[in-house]
Amino acid sequence: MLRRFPEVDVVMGPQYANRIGDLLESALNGNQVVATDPSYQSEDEMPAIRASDVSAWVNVIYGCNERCTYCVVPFTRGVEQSRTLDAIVGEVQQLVSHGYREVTLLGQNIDSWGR
Amino acid sequence: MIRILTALTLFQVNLNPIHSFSHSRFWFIGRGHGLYLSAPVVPTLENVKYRIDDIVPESAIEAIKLRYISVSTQQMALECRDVISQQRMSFQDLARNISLCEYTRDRGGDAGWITTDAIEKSSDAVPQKSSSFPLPEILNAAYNLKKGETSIVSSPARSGAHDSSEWHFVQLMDVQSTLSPMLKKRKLDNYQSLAGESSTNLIYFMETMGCQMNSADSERMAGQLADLGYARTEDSGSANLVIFNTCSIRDHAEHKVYSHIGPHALRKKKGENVKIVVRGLSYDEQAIALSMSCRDQ
Repeated sequence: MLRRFPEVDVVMGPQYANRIGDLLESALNGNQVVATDPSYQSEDEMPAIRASDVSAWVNVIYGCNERCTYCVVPFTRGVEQSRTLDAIVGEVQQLVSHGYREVTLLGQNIDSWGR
Repeated sequence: MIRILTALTLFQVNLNPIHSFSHSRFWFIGRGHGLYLSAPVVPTLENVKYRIDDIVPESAIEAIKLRYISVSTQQMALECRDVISQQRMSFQDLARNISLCEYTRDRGGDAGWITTDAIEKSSDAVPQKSSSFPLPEILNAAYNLKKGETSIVSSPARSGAHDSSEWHFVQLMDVQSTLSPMLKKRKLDNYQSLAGESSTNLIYFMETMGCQMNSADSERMAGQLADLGYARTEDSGSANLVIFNTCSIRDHAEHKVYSHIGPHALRKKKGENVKIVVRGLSYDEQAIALSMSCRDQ
């Protein structure tokens, strides 16, 4: 992609969603940043700004360990990393206290949480 | 004929270029109602690893977040484990009630983030004389756990008789890896720094493509950016930071990104001060990272 669009400043994999601040800082200093290596997914420090006040997404597992022949997700999102029960429960409780009515649990391979 | 037609609609064949670099195709063999697909040759890695602990090297761990409860006997530590695993009480409440450690008791046992440098330093310290917090035994135990796992470890008591020991019920809460992206310094012919832009003028535009997971991640990124001081806009022409949250599950989706980046790349070439961020599942970079021969995009 960088060969085709050299103007792109930052290419980041999905595991770096909560590190965008650090990557932007590096880009502002004049670098072209490529961050695609697998890494541990940490909990967010900042709460997400949600599009809706009533229904919310909560990620419970990240990545996929299956290797379906047609799918590129295991190669891009990486191996499964489940979030800890405390983190998920804490987040849902926080959402409830903010008045959310519907919480959707998301994951690429959601039925393998905790494996 | 009708059988073949219905079968064809059931088996949606995706002659995806992603597979073409392994020189394979799906074939239909047989006729009538016996349709067989021969499996394509999928690129495989030697020793495919399935656990994140096997893939990320230990040296990449920057800090760990842990919490623990200190008690005076092993029996009590085992009881702590039962209480927590049966969820009769939350970790924080249990720590507040019975933990002997005065530093963390009021925080529900939370020891916070400890960097790996600090862990190494505390391991070298002389035991029993060290007043370092938290204790090295606790740190070493937590370091070897998986996220969310618990462990029971003993250490020499810090107060009281010299040969008595304390027991700790430790849980690893979170792990942070070091951020080590590949950097390439830009040629500064018409480069302008956004850092010079006044802080009231940071505007970003985010485009989300793909599934709900991408929408959820977009929301998380929006939270981070708001904290950094960026304001959001729906008008992509006026933004000086443009983020594409992409999906490349199908070839068409992958090419969608290119059509979106085009106009912004043009703005940048014309000298406007625009930063472009592409995030998500783009197979090109991964293909290069896996160092397999890939067709030239």
